[in-house]
Amino acid sequence: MKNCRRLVSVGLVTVCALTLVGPPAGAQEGTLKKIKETGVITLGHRDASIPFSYFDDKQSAIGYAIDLCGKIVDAVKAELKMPNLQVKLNPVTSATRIPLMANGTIDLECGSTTNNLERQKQVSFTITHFVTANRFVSKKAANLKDLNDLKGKTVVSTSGTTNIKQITELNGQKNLGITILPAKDHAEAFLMVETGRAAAFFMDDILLYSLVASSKTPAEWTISAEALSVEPYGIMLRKDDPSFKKVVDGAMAAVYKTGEINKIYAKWFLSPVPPKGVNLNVPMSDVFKHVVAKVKYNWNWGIFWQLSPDGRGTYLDTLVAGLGWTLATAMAAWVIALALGMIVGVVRTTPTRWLRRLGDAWVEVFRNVPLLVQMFLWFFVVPELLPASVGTWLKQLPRSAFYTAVVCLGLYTSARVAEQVRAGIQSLASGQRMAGIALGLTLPQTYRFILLPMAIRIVMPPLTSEFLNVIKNSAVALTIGLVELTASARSIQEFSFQVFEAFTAATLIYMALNLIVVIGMRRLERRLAVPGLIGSGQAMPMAGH
Amino acid sequence: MLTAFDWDIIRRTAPYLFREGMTFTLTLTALAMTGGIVFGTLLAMMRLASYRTLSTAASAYVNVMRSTPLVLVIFWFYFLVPWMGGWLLGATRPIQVGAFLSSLVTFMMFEAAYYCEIMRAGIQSIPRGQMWAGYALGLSYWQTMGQIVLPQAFRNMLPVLLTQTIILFQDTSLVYVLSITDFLGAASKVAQRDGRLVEMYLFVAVVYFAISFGLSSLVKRLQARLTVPGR
Amino acid sequence: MPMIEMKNVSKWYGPVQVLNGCSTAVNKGEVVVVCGPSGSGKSTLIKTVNGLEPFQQGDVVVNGISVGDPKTNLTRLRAQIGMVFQHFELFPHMSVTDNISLGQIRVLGRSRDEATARSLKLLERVGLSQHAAKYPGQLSGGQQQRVAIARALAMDPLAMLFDEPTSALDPEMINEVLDVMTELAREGMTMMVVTHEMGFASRVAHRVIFMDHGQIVEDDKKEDFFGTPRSERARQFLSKILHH
Repeated sequence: MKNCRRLVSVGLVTVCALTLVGPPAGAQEGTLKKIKETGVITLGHRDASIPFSYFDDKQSAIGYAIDLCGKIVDAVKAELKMPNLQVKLNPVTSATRIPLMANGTIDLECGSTTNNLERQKQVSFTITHFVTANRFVSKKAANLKDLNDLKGKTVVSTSGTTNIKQITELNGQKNLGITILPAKDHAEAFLMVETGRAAAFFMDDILLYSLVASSKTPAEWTISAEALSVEPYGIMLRKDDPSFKKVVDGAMAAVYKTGEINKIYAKWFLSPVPPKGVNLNVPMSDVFKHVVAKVKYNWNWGIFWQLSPDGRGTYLDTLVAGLGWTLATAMAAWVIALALGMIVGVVRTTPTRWLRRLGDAWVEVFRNVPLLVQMFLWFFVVPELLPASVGTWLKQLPRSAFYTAVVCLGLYTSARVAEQVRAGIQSLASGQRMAGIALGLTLPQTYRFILLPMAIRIVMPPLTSEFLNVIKNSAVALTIGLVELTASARSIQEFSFQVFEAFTAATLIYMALNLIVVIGMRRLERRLAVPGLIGSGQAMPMAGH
Repeated sequence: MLTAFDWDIIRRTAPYLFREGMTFTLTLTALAMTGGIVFGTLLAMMRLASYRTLSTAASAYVNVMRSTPLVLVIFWFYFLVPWMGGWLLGATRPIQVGAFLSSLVTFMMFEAAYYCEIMRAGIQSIPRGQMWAGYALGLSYWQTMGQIVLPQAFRNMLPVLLTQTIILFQDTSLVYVLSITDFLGAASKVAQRDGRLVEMYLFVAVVYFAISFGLSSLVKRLQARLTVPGR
Repeated sequence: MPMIEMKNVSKWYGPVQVLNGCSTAVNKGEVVVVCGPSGSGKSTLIKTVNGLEPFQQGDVVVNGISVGDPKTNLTRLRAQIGMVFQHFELFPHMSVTDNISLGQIRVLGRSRDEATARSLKLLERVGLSQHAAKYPGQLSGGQQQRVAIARALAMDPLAMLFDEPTSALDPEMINEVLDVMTELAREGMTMMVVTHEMGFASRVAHRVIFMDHGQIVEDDKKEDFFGTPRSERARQFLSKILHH
């Protein structure tokens, strides 16, 4: 623990340089002025927040919030006397919407973002356009009524939302022992319940209604009566920008006053909506809120000593837990990679043709498909291709993301190790093999006593970098819900909004890991060094990571 | 659940996947490669420079990039690029940066660290005598580098550079974490909308495999041709 | 019965023929030197004797055992024929003693003590006792080649094959290796030696084989070969080598 603290304080010094560039300050100049100068207004939208903001069949963004933003854009055009103002659409996710707003990428976020005090430290909201409650959806057959029924189960929620934060807090406070998986977006989260990887999905009820309505079997689903909280939605804009906010608020107020809101509301909540023509049938609840707050990006390196909302300790503990998963995944995958890689690598140098071909095929398959795609294949596809009972068992395994990541990374890396081992053996002059055979050693003996001991020394440096790769590549597993180091940095960012502190800490930890591994391996190399041989020669650099 | 498979969905969505997704992926790969090699070569020259400040700065950059996971770098740059851009252009506020430009900068900067190491080995593989011969003819540092050393280094390293580019091509799939519609992103949107994960992800894997395998076979052939003695 | 008998051996690498109907015989206790220009197939020929180079036609019979017969246990046959390579091919990760002991322990099944004792005795014989604990990388080329000879002798071979044993050595080290080989020949070892060392050939060999383009052009008693070679090619070769 002491070392960790020292590490973080080293980080503090290192990143002072970053501070010189200046804290992000997107708003001082005024969004209106910026829009005027650039002739462009950029709307952030979601890709699956039905009916607020989502992609239709033709991949264009539509929805209730998009229509409202259209009204705001009209008002901006009038205010600036720019009838030809260009409107750009920029997709955002729960995790990216606030940073993208803060850094000036988007000017309005037209989606389903909860307006709360925490977020008001970072952004501003216009008049509330919807009110929802945090509930969960599950299969009727599972008969899950309230939080107590979920004890010890796995649930899912969308990362970066207030919903996941709430359930995480409750889980910690009430000690429910629920495993909470973060999903990239609502569709992915819903799919996790649909495919049986999670028992329930916590989200704003309105979104749950729409997901159920557009699912293949709406009758199979039920939404909990118990609500964790009630939440107002608002269109997001940058904070500290009164002139822009005035225009936006004015536009919204006008929509409400003229009664136009009823038409727009009915269009999205009381009629069939694209793409599937489902009618959500949610009557209007009219709550209006109007909040303004003024806080800029605050540097706060003390963040790591603050308690995180999961009730398990400080944010530093979150980071350490993430590091633990990174190491566990990397080590377990490395064992698989080394064992399989050695075998496949050796096989590829044997005189038996079909064995060699098999080894080559192994390497080519794992080398030529992106790791992320392989991760998805193992996580989403393989369980579906197995017999139903095995598939279900796999999906409901506790920590299935961890096991999947280990297997996937292990096999992926085995191909790379095999390539290094093959190259190592082949770099030995063929005379060594002949000398062994001429002595009367069998082929296995020649490998065991002569080729492999030398090849291992030669491949030590490239294997070191492969091990470093495994550590780094384990970050890809965050896409299937493994909360390793990068994912825990991201979750700190999402809960606390301290983007730079969180990512800096993670980066420094990765660098420290790198250093430790390199030094350790160098020691090992020195211990295995053969007297009279100068190093193992400078190998050609291999492409890779 | 996902009992019966619907392979026809691939035929129905392929035009969208390739027109939207693959175009993004390939454009990003090509531009990031070009930028990455240029920036990487500059970094390599810095690392080999005799000015300590230059070489230290370049090594620090390369080492940080090489010890950080790409996913984390993508997150970093997604939030950093608008400010960096504003700072570089001397603008008073963060500039507007779209998803494409942001990922382009990310991959250029990230891959440059890897291209740098390849080019460094390439430059070091050229005997010192070549440099001296250039100077002896009265050429300047930049002329010697540009006319004599770099062309040879580039040629020697061409297969490795191309192999790195194939890796870059596969790496671009990671923009998925930003919900960008690259090839994988497009397929995954369809997959999640229609609940057709098996079909779509298998198809994606096959396409990536075909392209990467095809390209690496070409690289192997090129390598064989380059190693013909007495070229 | 000759110790080594080659009958019409032919070998191709794809479309290229590298051995063309080679026939000869080496009797017990005989020393035969194989020479010829580079690329003439001498190294390939000597490696067919213990099956390191497979061949497509003809046969090689060693001590009554056919090398070309697929039923032959080549591993066991190889253990009975010592081989010394141009580039020594000592195992760099093992000490000199372990290099010599490896085959004794793993192939002949001797105990480690027995093998070490024999290794040390052989090291003494090639004059390298004081280097027993060193690694190959710490020895000079000539010393390494003498260790390689000791390693081959440790297997108590019926015959020894030498594939250009001195051509990778600096000139001042050649003689220390040739001396060991000469001593070996004097003790009656059956030897087949590919070499350009004509001095060694004229002193030690009983017969000389001259090869060119994969064929055995001359196969003469030493005296005949150096006296009146029959072929023009051998004469040219000799004149180049001897006027060196």
